[in-house]
Amino acid sequence: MPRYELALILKAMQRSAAINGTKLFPLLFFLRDRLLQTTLCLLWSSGQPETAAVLKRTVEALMERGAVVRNLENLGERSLPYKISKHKERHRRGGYFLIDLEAPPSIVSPMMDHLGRDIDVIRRAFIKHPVSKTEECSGIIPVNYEDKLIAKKK
Amino acid sequence: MAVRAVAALRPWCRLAPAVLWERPRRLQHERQPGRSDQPIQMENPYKEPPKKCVLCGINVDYKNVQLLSQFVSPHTGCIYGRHITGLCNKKQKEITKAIKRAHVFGETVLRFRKAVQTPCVSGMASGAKECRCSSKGLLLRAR
Repeated sequence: MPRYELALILKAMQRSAAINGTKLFPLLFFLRDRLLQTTLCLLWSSGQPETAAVLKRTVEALMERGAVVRNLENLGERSLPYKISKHKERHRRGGYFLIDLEAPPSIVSPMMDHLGRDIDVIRRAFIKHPVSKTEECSGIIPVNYEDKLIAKKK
Repeated sequence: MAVRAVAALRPWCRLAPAVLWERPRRLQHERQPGRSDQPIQMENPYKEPPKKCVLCGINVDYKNVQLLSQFVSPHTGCIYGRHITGLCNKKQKEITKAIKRAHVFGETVLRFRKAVQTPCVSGMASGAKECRCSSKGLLLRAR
């Protein structure tokens, strides 16, 4: 299964007081990955249960369709580079998230539709996982203009 | 008597008698068999390794906004061309794609136009400190 990267920008939630997480922990247990658990726990304890809920349902939807979620990264909440209008709202701030997953290619279009219908998702994008290519760059080979010219003449 | 003394002073004459080393006498028309005068065919040993562009070996990612912003004009947000950045084909293409992706994914600011004089940048890749174009250092149109 090819590796994809799902870049999400979620709506910036208003920070509420830290909620007692005892009720919510059992809900997280079904997620097998420790990393996801940790990220969601952190979000919950920092007072952003709504963001965590959005992420949870996104990951659930992905897993339903047969994707294997490898990693979930939080790139932080920052102000967007430009105002984005989505779902009848003008957003200035957003939380950036990155989901690293392995999925069949048939999952991409239905997932994009699904995320498009979600009110809390500002921007979504599926990218092929950028494999770090550190191949031996042979450098700039000087082009022999004479040869090119002569070859064309013939 | 004097001759013997002189001979004793020159001990090296005994070590290298004239007969051992004979000067090779080769005539030009008599060519030695199996030896040609032509130079030995080999690859240029003083060849310099091919020049590498600035990003050779560096992985280009659309998330790496700091790296991408170096190839974008700070005044207008235009992507600099190959004659300014001095990158090789592959890396220039990768950078362009990454910048356009970053625009769409909400990572970088989109290009904007300003009717402000921007300093002329062409020719920077070749190392010229002053530009030689007719506008003399300032571009009247935003570039």
